[in-house]
Amino acid sequence: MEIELQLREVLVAQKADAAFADRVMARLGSAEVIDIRTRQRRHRILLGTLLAAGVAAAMFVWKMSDPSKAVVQTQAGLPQPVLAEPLDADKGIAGKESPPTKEQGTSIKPSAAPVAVAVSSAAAQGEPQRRFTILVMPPRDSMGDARAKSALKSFQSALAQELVRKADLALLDADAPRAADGARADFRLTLSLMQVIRLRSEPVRIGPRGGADGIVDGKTMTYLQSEADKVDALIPGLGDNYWPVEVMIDEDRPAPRQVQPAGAVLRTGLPVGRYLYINPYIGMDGAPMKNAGCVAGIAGSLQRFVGGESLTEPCRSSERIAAALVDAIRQQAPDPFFMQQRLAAQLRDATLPQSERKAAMSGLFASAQRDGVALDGDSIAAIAQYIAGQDPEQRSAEWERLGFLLSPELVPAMLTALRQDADERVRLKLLGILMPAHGAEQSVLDVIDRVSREDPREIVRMAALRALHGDAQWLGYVKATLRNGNLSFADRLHPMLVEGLLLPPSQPGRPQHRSMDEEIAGGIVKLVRENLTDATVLESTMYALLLLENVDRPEVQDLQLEIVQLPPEQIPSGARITGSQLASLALPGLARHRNEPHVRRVLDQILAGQLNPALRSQVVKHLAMVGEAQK
Amino acid sequence: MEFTTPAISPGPTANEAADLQRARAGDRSAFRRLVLVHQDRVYSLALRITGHHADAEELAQDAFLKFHGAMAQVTSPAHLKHWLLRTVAHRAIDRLRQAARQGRILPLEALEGRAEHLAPEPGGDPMAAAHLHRLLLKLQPDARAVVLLHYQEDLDVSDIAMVLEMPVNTVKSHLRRSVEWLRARCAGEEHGD
Repeated sequence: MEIELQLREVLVAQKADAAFADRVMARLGSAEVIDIRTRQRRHRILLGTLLAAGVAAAMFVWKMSDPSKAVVQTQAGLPQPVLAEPLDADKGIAGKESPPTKEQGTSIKPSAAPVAVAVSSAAAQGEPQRRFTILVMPPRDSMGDARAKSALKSFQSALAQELVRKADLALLDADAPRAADGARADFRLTLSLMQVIRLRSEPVRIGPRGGADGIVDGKTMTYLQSEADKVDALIPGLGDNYWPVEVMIDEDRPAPRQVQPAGAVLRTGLPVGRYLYINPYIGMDGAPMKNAGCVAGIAGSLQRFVGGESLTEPCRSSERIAAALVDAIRQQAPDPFFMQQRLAAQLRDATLPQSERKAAMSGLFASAQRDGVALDGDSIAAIAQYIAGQDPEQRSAEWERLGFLLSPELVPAMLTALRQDADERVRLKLLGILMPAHGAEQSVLDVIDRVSREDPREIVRMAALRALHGDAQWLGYVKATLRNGNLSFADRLHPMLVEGLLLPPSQPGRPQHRSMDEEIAGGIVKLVRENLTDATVLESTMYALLLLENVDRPEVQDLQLEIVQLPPEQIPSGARITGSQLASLALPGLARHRNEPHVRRVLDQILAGQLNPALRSQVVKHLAMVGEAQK
Repeated sequence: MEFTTPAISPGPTANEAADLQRARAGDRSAFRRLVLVHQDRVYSLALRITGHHADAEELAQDAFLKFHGAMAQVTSPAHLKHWLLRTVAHRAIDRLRQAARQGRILPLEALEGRAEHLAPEPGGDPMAAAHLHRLLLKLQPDARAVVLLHYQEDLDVSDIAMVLEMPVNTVKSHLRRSVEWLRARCAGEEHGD
């Protein structure tokens, strides 16, 4: 047996212990399990983003209540927002923030992809229009055995019943009259009998003999048809009343493309063009032998071949063989343009489940990334339309992913989204994507310049100015916001927390360093001191401490020392963060300065259990992270 | 030929997405359901990389706990799958490397013995499966992870590259060399080499 098939056969998921989930939940419930330190290190930007969302919402409400009032006064010297040329409501961000309309995704039908000829009974009953039509050809066989023919027809019927269950397939019966308009199907499905293999009642031996290759996994077999009579395949439990069947699906073209001889195709296991071969054995009743799930498995494989649905049926062997063949098809005989059109059509089809559209999106991305296929206009339009229908977080994530492609074809769509997206986080993310990768293009600069003047949100305008003119103006904005006593704690931190959105995809990390100077650090320290015992602003305190985590300034160190020495009862606790977790946010900075006497003294007191015992394990951990192991 | 069309029911992915949202909102039962959905693949990957049940259990648990702390970062069920695989694969590989550095790596015979406790697919050949597991344990950790992600999880090379944070060409090399090596070993032993 081919080693690849063996691996697929053998490498099935091992079952975890039945109580595994219970043990995970038990650990989750223990006091030490939520490691805020670990979380902050890797996910701080996203947490910041979440807070930013809340802050943004608050700012929005606040601003809406008094539209004439800016969040902060624009610094002297900064360009004043100019709205001399307001964006049209239907083409720009305009002055209000409305959620993306889902109708955008529902009114457009696939246009470029093979359009289904919905003539099945399902379509006649008003089911959603299907995307691919399969013409089920009469069974083909070269044998005179009536029982074999009957079994083949029975098997074909069972297979067709499975296929018609698939949401995006419509079946045409080749025996029935074609549709009146004469439209042809997208694919043809043909089943044919292959030669019967002689069996001997001897111990199992599977493998090639006399130069004929066979791939046998005990349930299905792919072999060299022309050499079939030379193959010995003894499969325990099977009688000799079965027939191997070839299932073939190909594009329904008037002039079928030339393919290699079937033998060569099967021997290598690499189908040519868009032919898919699966060889189940069927019994006299038409059912696959020893393999109850096989029909469904094959149907699922075919579905995957034409539509990209994940498989759930149990016939692992057939399924995996089919999956391997599909992979081979895609790798050996790719037709990127065809695939791209089909994926774009799926992406546009708002009647599909979200999971399928998401899979299509991933397929387009993979096509562009892996195969280097330039996205065509239709695909880009489909992508933009799909993204517009997602929630803001998903929109940000999708644009970020597409940003990795550095594809100039995507720039116009990104610029449109930068001007039109209703959510400031998405617009900020697009600024972070566009400027580093495409900032040399005049069209990009023009749009960003316009955004810097016309975006309804001050923070976006400021971020655009920063993209165009550097950090100085942005820093002024950050400081002014931090100083603005009319704002809430969260609002005052907001510009720093959204800095992560402005980083290009390739530079995740610690954005707070970029704008952290003495004045800003001092401002944050002051804010934390003022609010440290206020449980209602616990999350803002947490984010402030995260912003200060890697700031090596005396006033920051003093604050961190002050926090870890506070009696536990003086530190507020909340639903998402406990007092000791909040206090532990001060520890990384102290661990870095562990050799300074006044810091060392406090850390030793904690280690000795004389001070804040709840922090001891965290101190041990942070000291270990800087290379100091505790006994 | 008559075709009937049953109602199409939403697949498990829709439930998983809903559970992900609920878990992110603090619903522990939803989180538990996510654990149940993914526990086999996560545990299995850890087990096949480390060859050690206890290590695999610990690594798998750690991966889920880590996920609990990072749920805001995970945007979809597909993302969750990749996230978990990446986390557990990296940790398992690190565990092996750490064990090797500290001289605690188990003798191969011990690993091979454990490999026989891995359950073969029902209906498969248990001898062949055990043999293949033994050979897999002889691969380097990185290469083993690549093979497992490809053949166990059906990930393609670009997805594996993302999961393991390797260049695509490295993944391809690992895959090609590992399969060639496994093929050569299998063929050699078949012929009594």
